[in-house]
Amino acid sequence: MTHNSNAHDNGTPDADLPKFSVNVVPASKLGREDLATILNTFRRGQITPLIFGDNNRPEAVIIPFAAFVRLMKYDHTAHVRDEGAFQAELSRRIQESDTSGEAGMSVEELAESLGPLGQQWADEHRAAQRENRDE
Amino acid sequence: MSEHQPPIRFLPTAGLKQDLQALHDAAVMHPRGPEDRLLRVALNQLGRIKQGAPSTHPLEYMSSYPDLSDCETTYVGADPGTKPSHRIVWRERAPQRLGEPVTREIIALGERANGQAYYMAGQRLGRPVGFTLAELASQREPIARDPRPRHRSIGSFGAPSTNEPDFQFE
Repeated sequence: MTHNSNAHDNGTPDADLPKFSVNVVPASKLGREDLATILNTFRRGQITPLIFGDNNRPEAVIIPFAAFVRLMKYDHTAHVRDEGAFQAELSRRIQESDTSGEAGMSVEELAESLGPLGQQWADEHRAAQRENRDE
Repeated sequence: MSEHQPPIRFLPTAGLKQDLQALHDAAVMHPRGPEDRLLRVALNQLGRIKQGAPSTHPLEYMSSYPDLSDCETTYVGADPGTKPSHRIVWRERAPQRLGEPVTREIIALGERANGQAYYMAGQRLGRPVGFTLAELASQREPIARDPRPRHRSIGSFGAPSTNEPDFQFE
């Protein structure tokens, strides 16, 4: 929920979510009464989400706030886990460089850790460096 | 510094990784858009910094900003026809032992507007606005003062404030 993208969500459990169908309420049809109704169902303990959007595309969803917080916690945990792995790798390289005198992390490795566009940049950058060396 | 230097240890901080990740994720949503270009330019600049290139200029102390006088700033922009929109804030640390490489620690990539990159860098280095490094060093206890108003936070998910003073430095 902290990102509007799943570009770096590989490996999270929802990657295996089975297909499901939804009823999409046209955004233009959503009125104050609908919001009051969904709020009342949430207050009664039901958690059925209200999904809406234009052109029959599910673009947004109203869910209980507790569910939103749970998703945020889930994302935060995933973020901390990824960040922890990144920092652990960085620390390991720094320690190695302390003893070996070699450089720590390269910019290409940093770029690759970002996702597909970073990976693409790193590939292009390495190719350009090879070309420069060959000239 | 020339581009041909002894090895430099490139130290991207967790904060920089967050900045790049946010930019990357925005670029994924808008292929070949300004975020995509900015990401590439920023990575190119980081590559140059890693290779020993000089900054655009060193930073100086200004009382309305955190003291970043030990830091450098490198300008970054997606559009060469306009003033660079972003800044990379970094600092160089001398080796602690003979034979070790110089470390270039990259602290933040942020917007130039309202000095956002510099406030962010100051926050990450634990430096409040209006205190010089000498004053901070003389403090027995760390000073924790954030002059900006806080948004309401729920649980551990507080939204960062975007209210910044309307001054800036280059």
